[in-house]
Amino acid sequence: MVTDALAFILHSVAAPARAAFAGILSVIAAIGRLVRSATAPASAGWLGRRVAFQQLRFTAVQAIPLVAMVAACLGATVTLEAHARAAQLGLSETVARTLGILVVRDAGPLLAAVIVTARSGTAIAAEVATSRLLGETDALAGMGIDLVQFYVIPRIIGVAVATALLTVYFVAITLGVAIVIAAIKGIASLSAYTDTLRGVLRPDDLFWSAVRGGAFGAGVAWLSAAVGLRARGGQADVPRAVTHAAVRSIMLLAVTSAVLVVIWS
Amino acid sequence: MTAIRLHGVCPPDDTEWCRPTDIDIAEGTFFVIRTTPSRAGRLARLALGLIEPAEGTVEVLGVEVHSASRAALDKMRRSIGSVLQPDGLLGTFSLETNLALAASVRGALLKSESRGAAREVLARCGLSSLAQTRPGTLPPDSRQTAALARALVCQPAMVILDDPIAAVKSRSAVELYRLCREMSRTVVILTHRRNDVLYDLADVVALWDSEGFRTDAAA
Repeated sequence: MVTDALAFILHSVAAPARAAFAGILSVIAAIGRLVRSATAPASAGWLGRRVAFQQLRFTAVQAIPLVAMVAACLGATVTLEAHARAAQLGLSETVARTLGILVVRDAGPLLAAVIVTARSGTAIAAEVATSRLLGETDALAGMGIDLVQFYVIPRIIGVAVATALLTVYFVAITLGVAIVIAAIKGIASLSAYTDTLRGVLRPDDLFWSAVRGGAFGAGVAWLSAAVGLRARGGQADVPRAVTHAAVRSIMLLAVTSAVLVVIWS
Repeated sequence: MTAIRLHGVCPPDDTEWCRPTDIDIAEGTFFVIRTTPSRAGRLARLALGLIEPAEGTVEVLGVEVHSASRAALDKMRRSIGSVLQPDGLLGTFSLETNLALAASVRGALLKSESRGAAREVLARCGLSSLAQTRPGTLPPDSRQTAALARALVCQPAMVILDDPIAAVKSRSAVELYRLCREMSRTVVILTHRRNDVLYDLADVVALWDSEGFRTDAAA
């Protein structure tokens, strides 16, 4: 009886542990493949550069209206809501300070990367999975083209640069809208709000925010392309790849962002 | 010298292949194998190292495919032109770009040179007017011809073609098969049905069915 219970407990613990260990090993193997391909001579050459540029255009330029809308809504909502609550507590002057730090250091890169996940990460997973099902990956591999160089690295570069740019754009719009709303509502004058932000933010904060956004974007592109390349079965693998890419990317972003906040705070 | 040698090969998870198979294809031959689509696909992918055999060895152009280094495998693949099923033409790029990519990899050419090589082969295959067209909009015969053109660009040492131009009319097909012979030293064609046009051009015809692999001029 006791032996059975122990065996059950060991089995219950061992199975998730094995799965976690296998997951860690597969991530290490994937990083190894990425590094090996990144350091190998380029096999996709000029077409790889074209893919990276197309990805940059799709992720950065075509996403501008969506990012602008989300950033403007965030700036307006947080300013109005936070001011209403803070005023009750006599902490009105802290609203600009908190919003500045929150948006530039944490929410900006995170939300820009979440938008990129929703728009580009899913598209990458669907495109790569479809390429696999249509035999494009076999044809390229059969020609001696490194699939990671063709499908993964150009998208990592394109999405990383695009997300860095979108982060700057997101931060600028959020803070810009917050300043305007604060001025219109009489919460703080333009100059007072700007001075507060200047006081609380370091000159290099925006740069590091963009770097963080770029790193998030690279992670999203890498995960999405890798998930797409693993599609095998049939047409059902495309929606499955899209779902996996979105879920894993958002988990990666949430965990990484939380860890960075803990480290930096 | 042997272009392709399979020794005691069984692919993984395959019930149709049935038994370990030995195949020898000499360099410089126009070799036609009539078999099922499943076996044809497996054989082409085994030869290119895209799947690993459950047992046995595969040697292609002097390279033991599944124990070769990555660099040796890539070099071997770059000297082979192939048409697989599905054809794998990149749907987001024009025919010229599809062929130029193959040319730049196979011939280590610059972008402008590879585009030139692509245009030349497209012209020889009668597809000049479709150079800027994407594969998805093409009729089946043009698409198959384009996939064949991609396999032939930069004159690879060997081509492995899995049922390459089944939808092309027989007169054009003869010209295309002749072009294969002209542009590549070794031509291996896997066909799924009896094809008299192809048999007339072939040096060796083999039949591969449930009874095994056998060379047969009357196959």
